[in-house]
Amino acid sequence: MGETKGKTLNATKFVSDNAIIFLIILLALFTWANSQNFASADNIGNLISNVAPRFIIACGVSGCLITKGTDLSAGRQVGLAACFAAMMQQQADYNARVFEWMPDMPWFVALLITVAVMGCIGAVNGCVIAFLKVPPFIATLGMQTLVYGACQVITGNQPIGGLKESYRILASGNFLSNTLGNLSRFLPYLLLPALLVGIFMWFLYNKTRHGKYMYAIGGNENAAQVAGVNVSASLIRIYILASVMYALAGFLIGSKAGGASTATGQGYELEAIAACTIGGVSVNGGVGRISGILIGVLVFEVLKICLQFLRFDPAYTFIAQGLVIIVAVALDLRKYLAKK
Amino acid sequence: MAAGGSRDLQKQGGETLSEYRLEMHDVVKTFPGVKALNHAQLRLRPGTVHALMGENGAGKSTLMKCMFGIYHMDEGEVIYEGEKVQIKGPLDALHRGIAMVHQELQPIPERSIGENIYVGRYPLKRVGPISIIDHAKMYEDAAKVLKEVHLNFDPRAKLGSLSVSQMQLVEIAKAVSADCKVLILDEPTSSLTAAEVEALFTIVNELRAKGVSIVYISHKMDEILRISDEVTIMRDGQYIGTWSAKELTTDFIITKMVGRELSNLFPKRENIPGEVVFQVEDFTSINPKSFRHATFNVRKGEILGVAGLVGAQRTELMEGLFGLRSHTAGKITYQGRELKINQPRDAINNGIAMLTEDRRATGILGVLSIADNVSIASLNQYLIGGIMLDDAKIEKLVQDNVAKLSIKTPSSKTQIQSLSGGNQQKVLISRWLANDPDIFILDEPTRGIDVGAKYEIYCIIAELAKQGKSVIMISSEMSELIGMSDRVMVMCDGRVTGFIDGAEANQENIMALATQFE
Amino acid sequence: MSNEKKKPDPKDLTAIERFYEHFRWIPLKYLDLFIGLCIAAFILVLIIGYLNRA
Repeated sequence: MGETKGKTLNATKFVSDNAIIFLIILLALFTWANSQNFASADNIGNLISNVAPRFIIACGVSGCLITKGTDLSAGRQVGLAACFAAMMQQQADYNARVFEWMPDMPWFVALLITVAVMGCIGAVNGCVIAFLKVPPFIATLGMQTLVYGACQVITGNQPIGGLKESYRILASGNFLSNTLGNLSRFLPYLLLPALLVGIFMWFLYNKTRHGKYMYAIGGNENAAQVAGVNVSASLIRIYILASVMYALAGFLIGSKAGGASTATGQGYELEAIAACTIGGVSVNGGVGRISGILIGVLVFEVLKICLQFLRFDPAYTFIAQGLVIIVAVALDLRKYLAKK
Repeated sequence: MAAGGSRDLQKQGGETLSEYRLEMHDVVKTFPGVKALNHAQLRLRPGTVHALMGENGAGKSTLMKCMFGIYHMDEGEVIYEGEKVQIKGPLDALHRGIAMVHQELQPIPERSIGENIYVGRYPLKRVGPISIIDHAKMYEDAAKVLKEVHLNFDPRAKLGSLSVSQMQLVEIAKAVSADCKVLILDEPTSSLTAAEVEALFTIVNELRAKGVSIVYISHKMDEILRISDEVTIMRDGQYIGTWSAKELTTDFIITKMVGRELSNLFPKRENIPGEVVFQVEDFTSINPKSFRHATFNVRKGEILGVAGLVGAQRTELMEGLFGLRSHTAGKITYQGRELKINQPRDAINNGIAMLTEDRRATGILGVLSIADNVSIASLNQYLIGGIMLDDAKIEKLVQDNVAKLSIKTPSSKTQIQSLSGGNQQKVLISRWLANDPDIFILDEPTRGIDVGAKYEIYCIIAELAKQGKSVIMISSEMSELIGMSDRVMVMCDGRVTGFIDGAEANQENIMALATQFE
Repeated sequence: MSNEKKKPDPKDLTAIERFYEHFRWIPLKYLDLFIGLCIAAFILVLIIGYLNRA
């Protein structure tokens, strides 16, 4: 790891690490210049509503990534959670209810049940990885298929609709809508869970033993074990917490979309992992900050919303996103190769 | 020939032509906050082995990197074969005939040995309008090169199929193949077996006979005194002097490297061993080839040295006691109580601490800060309300240890991997001290640590024993075992072969027990 | 007895690290070039997409 010639290379490194972020900021400014509506309450509120569930998912995956694992089942778990939540929140008189016998329950009960069930799935992931020593890549890949299959069985491959207004308002409503009127769109209800998750995760990662153990395992699992860290317990906790996050996100997505199906959440793990990578979580393990994760998620969502606003052909959005992912992976690869 | 005398020789000869193939004068190199080289110099004659010695951080590697063009010198000049030169980088140096074998190998295990030898300078052939790699010639040349250094590897074999020491030999072959006039070997024997070291010395002798100037950077005194003609010593980035190897002794070298008289390499120990507190009976590994029927005890306030050859399974035995390896039989008793240890946490909860052999692999949490490394094993002690970590308390713990153990670090937030080996070891010791264990197992505690820091570690160990802790110290350095142990336990091939009282221990009786194969 | 520098042991690496090891062959500056090209391509895609928007 020798010093390179002069300070110019350090500046270049800083720019290339953050090039994507700079470009996205430029893109946002450009889009705003192009159309005043971009900074409107509606649009920003839309952005926040898109970012919130993605951020929660990314926070969930981050623990797996920091400990040098991964969770490829994230997307399908989000979908299953959305289906669960939707099933439990269908209008009583809806004639296409999935389960006729489902009692009517307030949304927080549905949320708790969803979280509990998904937490068990996370526990299975954690146990398979910690005790059976299956590599996380394989274990979660298997879980991805299992969860998808389970979702198909439970929903009978029918989309779930007809959701109660009391559930739908969670994602579509705004704080202070009476006092602020249209400006209240800057404060969607979705902002609250995202904020709470952010604060909770920040606290967990920086101020608790669990957080320290997590970084230790990621930094050097063998050394962590020698230092007395209960690696298995930590890993199981991490995967359970991840699934809890997926449950929360799925619950919110069900509300936002007004429905759920087996297609919900498909592929979400790719963007979540990419967002984490852009945000500084590396394959090298042991590093990653909540602020970085938020930035990573913002990069994708701002990109999406700008291109949508500029009325890009969706194909270009896909290509642009793909390039962002490639750059993120290449930068991570570079960090890894430069280390040894 | 004392320092500076070599210049006199030049004047006496009345030659205007320098008798030195390569000279570096007044080299200054500063990094932020650190003056790595302070008017350093080096003069190499053809056909000599010139040792470059100094503690870690003395500037040896930095000086070589400046020569090579990897670093840009702030001041100073390099004169090669009578001309002032500016070497732009490793490939430029190689073309001029200066080759270097790095301490940190950069092998490409997926590719063949031949490709590794010629990486960056493949022989090319033209096929129509384009040039492609001439694999046939490359392997032919590679085979010749390997033969020259008495290695009989197949150049087409994957580099990854070799052992680490063999890869180091290939690295040496790579440098030799460049047909160089100056060859720099940076810690070339760090991964080699005794037989391979001999092979290396044969190569070095042959190169010397051919007129190559060889720079030999190493910490191993006996090798230096054996192979080199001249020795240059550096300290704190400064040039201390150059001496003829014939006139040097180990003590003299150490004194010059450290800059102070070391009347004793080991501190005076004031510990008084008490009654037996720790007892191990019939401890046997699940692996029949590993440690078996190990029986020993340790007293309170005692330093038990553990000696043995490579392969004696000393590390394995201690790892077994600490819960890192499984055992099928055996009993561990502490103060009369039997201990059940199946994983490190059990050992830690029972007051046992272990400093592992390879701190990079199983000791330090490299990317984490010093504060994190110190506190990781004792986090339960710094909680507010049972959940939140008390950062202020942790910071105080770190500062107390930095002061007590003289840990040199810019701040508690610095990544531990940027510290020197000695300081890293001190951080690890602090980690264990935070739990106030009664038994310390130290596996090669001073490996890869420079002379000055070693002494500080010995003082810490002596202090631990004085406070009544039991210390078990595995070491492969005879002088360390003899100088620090109250008793020496010797192992051979997985068995405990005997005990020697500290006062009577010497190289002969230790080796006798270490080679008692069945 | 010696300070062994271990080459990456396949058992110790995660799946992604094993994948990354396959690229050790590439000198870092070519990787930097690749990253630069991707960023350039990204900008290009944005420009072309803007010109071709609905």
